[in-house]
Amino acid sequence: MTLLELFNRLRDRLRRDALARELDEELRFHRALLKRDATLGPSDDNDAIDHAARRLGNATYYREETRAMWSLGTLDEFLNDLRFVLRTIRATPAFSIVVTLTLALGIGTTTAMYSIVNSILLRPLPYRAPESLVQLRDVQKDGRETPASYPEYLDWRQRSSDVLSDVAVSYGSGEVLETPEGAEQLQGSHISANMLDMIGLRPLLGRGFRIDDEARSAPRVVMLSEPLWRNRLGADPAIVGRTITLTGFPYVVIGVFAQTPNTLVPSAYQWSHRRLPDFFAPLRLDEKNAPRGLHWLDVVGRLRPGVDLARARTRLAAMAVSIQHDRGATHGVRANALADALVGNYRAPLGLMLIAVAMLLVIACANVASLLLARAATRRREFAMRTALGAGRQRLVRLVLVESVFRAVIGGALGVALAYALVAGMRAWLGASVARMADVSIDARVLVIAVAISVICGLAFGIIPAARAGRSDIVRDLRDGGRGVMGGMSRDRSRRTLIVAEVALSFVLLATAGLLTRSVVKLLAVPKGFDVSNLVAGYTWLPSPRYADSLSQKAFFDRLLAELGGSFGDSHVTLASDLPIAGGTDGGIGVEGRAHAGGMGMKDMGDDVLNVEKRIVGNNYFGVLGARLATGRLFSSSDVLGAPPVVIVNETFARLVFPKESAVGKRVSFNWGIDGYQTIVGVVADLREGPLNRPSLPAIYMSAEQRPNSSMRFLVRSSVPAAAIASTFRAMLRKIDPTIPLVETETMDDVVRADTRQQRLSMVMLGAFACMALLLAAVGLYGVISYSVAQRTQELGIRAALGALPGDLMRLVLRQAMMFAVTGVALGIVGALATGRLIASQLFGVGPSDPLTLSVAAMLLGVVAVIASVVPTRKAAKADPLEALRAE
Amino acid sequence: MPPKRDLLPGTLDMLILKTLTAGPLHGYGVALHIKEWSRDVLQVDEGSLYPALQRIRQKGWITAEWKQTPNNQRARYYTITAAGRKQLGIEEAGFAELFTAIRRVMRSV
Repeated sequence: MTLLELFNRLRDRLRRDALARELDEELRFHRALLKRDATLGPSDDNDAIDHAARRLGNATYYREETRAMWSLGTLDEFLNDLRFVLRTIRATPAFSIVVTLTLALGIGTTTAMYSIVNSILLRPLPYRAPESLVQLRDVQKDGRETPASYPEYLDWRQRSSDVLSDVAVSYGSGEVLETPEGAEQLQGSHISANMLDMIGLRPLLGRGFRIDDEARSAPRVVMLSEPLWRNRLGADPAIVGRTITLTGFPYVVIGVFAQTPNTLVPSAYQWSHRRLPDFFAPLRLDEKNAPRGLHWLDVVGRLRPGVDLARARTRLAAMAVSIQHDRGATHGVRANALADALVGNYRAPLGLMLIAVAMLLVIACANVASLLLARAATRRREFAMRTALGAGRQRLVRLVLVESVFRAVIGGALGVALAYALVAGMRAWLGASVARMADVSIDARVLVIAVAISVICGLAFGIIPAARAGRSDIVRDLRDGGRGVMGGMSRDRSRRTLIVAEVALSFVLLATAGLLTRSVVKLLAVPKGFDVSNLVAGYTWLPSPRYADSLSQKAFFDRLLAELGGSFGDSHVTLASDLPIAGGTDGGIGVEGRAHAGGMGMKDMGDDVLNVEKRIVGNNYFGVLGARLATGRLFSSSDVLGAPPVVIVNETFARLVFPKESAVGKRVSFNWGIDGYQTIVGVVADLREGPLNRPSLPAIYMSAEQRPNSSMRFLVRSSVPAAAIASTFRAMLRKIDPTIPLVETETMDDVVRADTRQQRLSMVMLGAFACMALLLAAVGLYGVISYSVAQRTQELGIRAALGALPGDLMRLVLRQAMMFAVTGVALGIVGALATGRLIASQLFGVGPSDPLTLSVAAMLLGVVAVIASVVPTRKAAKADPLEALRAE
Repeated sequence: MPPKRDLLPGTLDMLILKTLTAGPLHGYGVALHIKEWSRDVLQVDEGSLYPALQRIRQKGWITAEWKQTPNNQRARYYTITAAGRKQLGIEEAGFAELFTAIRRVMRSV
C-alpha cells in the first residue's frame, strides 16, 4: 500500500457515511439509466428489465465490499474490540471498578513510597563528589558519639592527611539583622574556609572565604544568600565590600551565594531542620573560646582517592590513640559515611514503609488475579459461545488482551494521579521536618515498573479464559454453563492460595501497624512530670554588644516578665533556657570532694566530667509547670543575685550522682569550676528531659535570678490560642526593644509532637497501608466467596431440596470463609513474628510479639472476613431447589 | 444477446482507465462504453464496477467529482489522473505480454 493510498483510505474512513450516501445515489442513478435504456431497447425489452432487476439483488454484497475499502483494517478492528470491552465493562461495573481501583492503589502507593525512599535515602547528596565525604565524630568513653570540639578538629585535620585529603567544619548560628521593619533573626553557619570547596559552592558575586578570614584579628566578613540580598538589601549590585551590622557587629560583605540544596551544610541538625542558610561566616575560634570540653562542631572529611571507609576508620583509630597520648585526652574519633550521618535515621522507618507498600502491591496483584480467575470461570461459557459462533481463538485472545490492557491503562493512570497526590501530601505534611522530603519527586522508572507489573498481572490472569476458549471442549462448557465441576479444581486451588496469602499479608501489616500504634500510645503516656497542656513558649536572645553583662540581660527579662505577668498573671509566666523534652544545653559538672571537683582552672578543662542537662529557669518555673518536689525546697524569692548560689537537680541526677546519700546540701561546680560551687537545695521529680523514647536525662536547674542568660524562652500557661499569644509576644518585645527578634513561638504540645513525629509517621503510614490491605483482603474474600456460592448454586439447591435449612447452608459457606481467614491468620502470625523482630528497634514499650496486638489483629481480620462473606452467605441461604433443578 | 464473458482478473481496472482516457464519464457511462465497444461481449455490472472505481480512486489513478449531466441530472464523473495514465501504460504492456503468451500457447499444438 502506498502512502498516498493509505492517506486516501484514512480520509475515506473519516467520511465513510458521506461516501456511503454518495454511493447509494450513484447506484440509484445507475439503475435509473439501466431501466431507461432497457425500455428504449429494440426487441428483448423484458429480458433486459429482468436482467437489470436480477442484478439489483446483490446490492448489499457490493456495498459491503466497497465499505471494507473505506475502513482501516486492524485499527477498525481494534476500535471494535475496544467498543466491545467498554460494553463488557459497563455490563459488570462493580467488578471493573474494583479491579481498576485495586490496581490504582497498588501502583499509586508503591510509586509514591519508592519515590520518597529514593529521594531521601538513595539519591546522592547534593555535594561535590559526595561518595567520598565522611562525617567525623568524637567518641566518648561510654561509646556515645558527640560533635567535635575545636581542638579535636585541629588535631584531626593535622594528623589524618594520609587518609583524608581535607577536613572542614561548621556550626550553626543565628545573627540579628536590624532592618527598618524590625529586628530579623537570620540563620546561618560559621564554616571553615575550605568548607565551600568541600561542598562545591561557588559565590554568585564576590569571593568565598580564605584561610586568613578565620583569624581572630581579621576583620569580620560574611557571605549573604541571594534571597536575603534581594529581599532585604534591595539587590544592591555594589553589595560586595559594603559593611552591614549583624547582631551589633560590623561585617564586610564579601560575596553572595545562591540558595541551592548544597548550601545546607553537612550537619545532621541542619539536615533535619532544613532551613537553608541566610549567611555564611568564617570560623573565628581559638582554644580559649572553644575549649576541648565543648563539643558542638560538625566535622566533615574527604577520603583520599583509593581509601575506603574501613581503612580510614583503622587509621583514625590509631590517630585517636596518639592524640590521647599527646593531649592526655580520653576521647576517640569515628568516621561515618556522610549519607548515613545525615539521613541514616530515616533508613529503618522508610525501609519498613517500603516493605509494607511492597506487601500492599502483592496483595493488590493477588486480589486482581483472584478476581480475574473467578471471572474467567464464569466467562468460560461466553467464550465457548463465541467460539461456537465462529470467533477465532486469536480474536478471543485479542479481546482479552485489549480488556486487560485497557484496565491496566486506566488503573495505571489513576495510580499515577494517586502517586502524585500522595507525594504532594507528604511534601506538604513533612517537607519542613524530614530531611529532603521537600525535594521528593516521582521517580519515572518506578512508575514504569509499577505499571508494567500491574499490566503483566492483569494480562497473565486475563489470558487464561481466552487461551482455554481455544482449547476447551465447547460442547461441555456450553452445557455446564460455566458451573462445571471438573477442571475447576486447579483454578480453585490457585484462587485459594491467593486469598490465603492476601489474608496472611494483611495480617502482617495489621499486626505491625498495631505494634507501632501501641508504641505511640505508650510513648505519649510516658510520664512527663508536669502539665503539658496550655503551655506556650516564646524564644528570644539578646545580641551581645548591648546586652553584654548579666545586669542588662536580667533587666530585659525582668521587664519582659512584668509585661507578660500583666497580661497573663504573674503565677502563669516564667523563664527557661530550654524546654523540657526538646533537649538543650548539656555540659560537665564537678562534685565537691570528688576527682576534678576543685580547682579546675582553664588549663584542666578536660573531658572527663559528668555530662548533665543544664537549665537556667525562673524562680517560679517549677510552680508554673506543675512539677512535684521530691525533697528539699524549690527556688524562692530570696534566691537572687548576690545571695549564695543554689541549684535544684532532678531525681535521675540525684540517683546517678548520689546513689547512697541525699543530694540536698551537696555542692557542685559548672564550667570547670570557674564560677565556684553551688549548693543543691532541692530535688524535683523528673521533668522529662530529652526524648520520650529514652530514659530521662540527669538535669540540673539554676536560677535565672542568680545567673541571667542572654538567650531565654518565656513560658506562659494560658488557654488563649498560641497564634494570639505569639503576636502578644512580638508586640511586647517591640515595645521593650525593637531590635530584639522573636525567634520562634511553640507550644509544649508542639514539642511533644515534634519528639514523637517519626513514631507517629510510621504509625500513620503503616496504619493506612494496613487499612488498605484489610479492605483489599475483604474485597478478595467477598469475590472468592460469592464466586464459590455462584458455583455451588446447584449443590446448595439440592441440599435445600433434601431438607437443609437456610442456617445450615449459611454455616456451610461461612465455614469456607472462616477456613481462609484462619489459615491466613495462622500464616500471618508467623510472618508478623518475623517482621516484629525486624522492627523491634522502632518499637517502644511493647514487645515485637505482643500477644494483645496479635490477638486484636486476628480478631479484626476475623470480623472483616465475616462481614465480607455476609452477603454471599445470605445468598446461599436463599438457595432455591427449583432454581437448581431448572439449571440442570 | 451474445453470451456474457467473464473478464480476466485485473483487466477491469485497465478497461476503466482506458475508457476514461477519452474524457470524464460517470459509472454508468463507463459500463456502457465497455459494453458497446466490446460489442456486448463484456458486461460490467455495478457489483464489480463501483468497488473497482473506489479502489482505483483510493490508489490515486482517477478522481471523482459530482457534475450535471446534459440531461440536468446529478452524477459522479470520474477523470483519469497523470498517475492513472502511467498505470494504464504499465497494465497495457502487461496485458499485451499476457495476451501474446496465451496466443503462443493456443497455437502451439
